[in-house]
Parts: sequence; structure tokens; C-alpha cells
Amino acid sequence: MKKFILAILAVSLLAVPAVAQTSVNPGIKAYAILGKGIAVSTSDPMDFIIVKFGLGRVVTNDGNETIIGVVIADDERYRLREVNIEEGYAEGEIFYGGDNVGSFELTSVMKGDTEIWVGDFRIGGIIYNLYLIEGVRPIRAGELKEKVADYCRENEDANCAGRIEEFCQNNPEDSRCQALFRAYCLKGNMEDTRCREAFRNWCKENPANRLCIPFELQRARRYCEEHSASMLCRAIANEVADICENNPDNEGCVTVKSLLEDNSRLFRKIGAIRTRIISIESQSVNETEEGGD
Amino acid sequence: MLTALLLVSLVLVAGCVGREAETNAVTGGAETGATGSMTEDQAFNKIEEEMNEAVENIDMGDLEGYIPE
Repeated sequence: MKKFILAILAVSLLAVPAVAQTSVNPGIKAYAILGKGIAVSTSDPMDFIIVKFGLGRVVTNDGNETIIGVVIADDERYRLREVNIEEGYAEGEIFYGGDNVGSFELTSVMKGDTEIWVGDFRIGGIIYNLYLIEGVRPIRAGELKEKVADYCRENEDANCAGRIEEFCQNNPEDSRCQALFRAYCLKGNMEDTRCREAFRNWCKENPANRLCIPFELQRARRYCEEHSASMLCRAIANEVADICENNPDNEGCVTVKSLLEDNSRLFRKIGAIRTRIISIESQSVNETEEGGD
Repeated sequence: MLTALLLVSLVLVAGCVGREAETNAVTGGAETGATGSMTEDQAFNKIEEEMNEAVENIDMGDLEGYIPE
């Protein structure tokens, strides 16, 4: 009798750590920025640093979720903490050996297929203008399995039938798996460079899709509020205007119009193009190809 | 009765262990550097590793047009 009770107790004790571990799912949840570029001193343009810059959303063993990062500036290695990320925007503090030695504030803008992060990089008392090229980091098969499983656990989606996550790990290029990953991305995960890479590639094939028309504009919103007269913002605005004049009923164009109407700073200094977009009349809202959302 | 309880406990352990193994795999295993546990130091290292890999093929010539002359 006593042996039975002891056995049950022992087995139950074995179960406790396993149960405890399943409640936490530690790891890198998102790679927000993985880039390389150059920081140029604002006071002396000949004073510059080669910079590698990485930011990620992390869940550690204790269950805490935080955004941290690494900067390698020439040969010095710094850590990034107290980071705040919004769509197309990142700011935070720079630490060296536990000491706060600077800060950064970056906005992103697309030029063609390349995402560029630009902004202030303050370190060692010197203010630099930082220009980073975002690296290419597509989703990998094992990660796709994880993201599809996460999405299908929380959403009703016809593509989720069966053991789709296993299928996607083995067939990462399958259109259903790609659609599920984009759907996962649209659930508030566009801060992840892997999501942006997926959309960049998909939008090349589907430029008139309702999700693709506003894509560059949404990414560059913060940049084009501050630098609305720049060539980059002009190019983005002209591209959107051209597409929407030819597709006035596209839901993506309705989204773009709403963005402009709700944000008077966006393209403020290029009023003619801004007016051109806002004045496009739409009769009805038609959806083109679905993005899997 | 006690045998039944013992069996239930065993099923519970098997289920939890199985789920834990699945969780580790889902987290990405070797691909994400997360094997069911990650300290902050490991996270910094993993981000640095991914950063170095992602920027390997960046052509700095792409910056042309961004840096003021």
C-alpha cells in the first residue's frame, strides 16, 4: 500500500517540472532589424563607423518578453536595451559593460526591394547619422512550422486542416503554407523581418493586391512624416498614385486614402501628389487576390 | 484504485513529456537557437549570430544615394 502511494508521489513529482516547462516557450520571437551600414558624424562627415545592428523580441527562461539587441560598431560590441518598436520605427538605449553609453532612433523606408533604416545614433558623446541596409532573412522551415502552429492554434482558417505545421516544415514553398505565414504576419507580427521579407517577395508577384499597395507606405509612414519631400517618399507616393488611378476601387487604395486623410503630416511637403491620391474616387470596394488573412 | 491512479499519473507524465518535446521542436530547436531554454546572454548571442549571417551578402554600394555628399 505504502509502496503504491510512494510510487504515485514519485511519478507526480516527475510530472511537475514537465508541466512547468510547457507554460513557458522561450526563444527569439521576432527579428526586428538585422542590418549593416555606416554611421556618419553630424559634426565631421569624415568621421564614420561601420555598424552591424541586430534587434530581436525575446522570451527568456523566466517568461519575460523583451526587445534586446546587439551593435558592433567598428570592433566594439554594444548591447541594446529599453527598446521600443512601432511599425517602421525603433528607438532604444545603448549599453557597454552595463553602462548606458548612448541611444538610437531609427525609421525605415523602402527603396525598391531594399529596406533602409535611417536615423540618429548617439554614442560616446558623438551624434551620428546612421544608415542601415536590412539584410535578407527569410523564414526557415522549422520556424515556419512554429509560426503556422501558433497561428492555427488561435485562428479558424481553412488552410489549417490536418497536421498542416508538419506539412509546412516539409513543404515550406507550398502556397498554403506561405499564405498561412502571411496570415500570421498580419496578426501584428510585421515587426519581424522574416514577415517583411515574405511580403516583399509576394508583393513583387502581386503588386496590385490590396495588402501590397499600402505595404511600402505603411513601412515608410514615420520616415515620410519627417522627410516628406525626400526622393524616396516622392517615389513611394507616385507609385501608389499611379496604381490607384488605374485601380480606384481596390481596397488597398481605400486603405492608402484613409492613411493620408488621417495623417496630415504624411507627404505634407508634396501636396500635389498627396491631393492626387486623396482625390481618387472609388465607387465600390473590390478585393483582388487574397493574402491569406 | 491505486493502480488506476498510478496509470493516470503515468499517462500525465507521458503527455507532458511529449508536449514538452513538441514545444521544443516548435520553438525551432537548432534553427532558432531555442531548445526550450534561453538565457538573456544566449539571446544576445543568437541575435548577433543571425545578424552576422543576414548581413553577410549586403553590398554597401546599395547605400549610394542615402548618404549626403
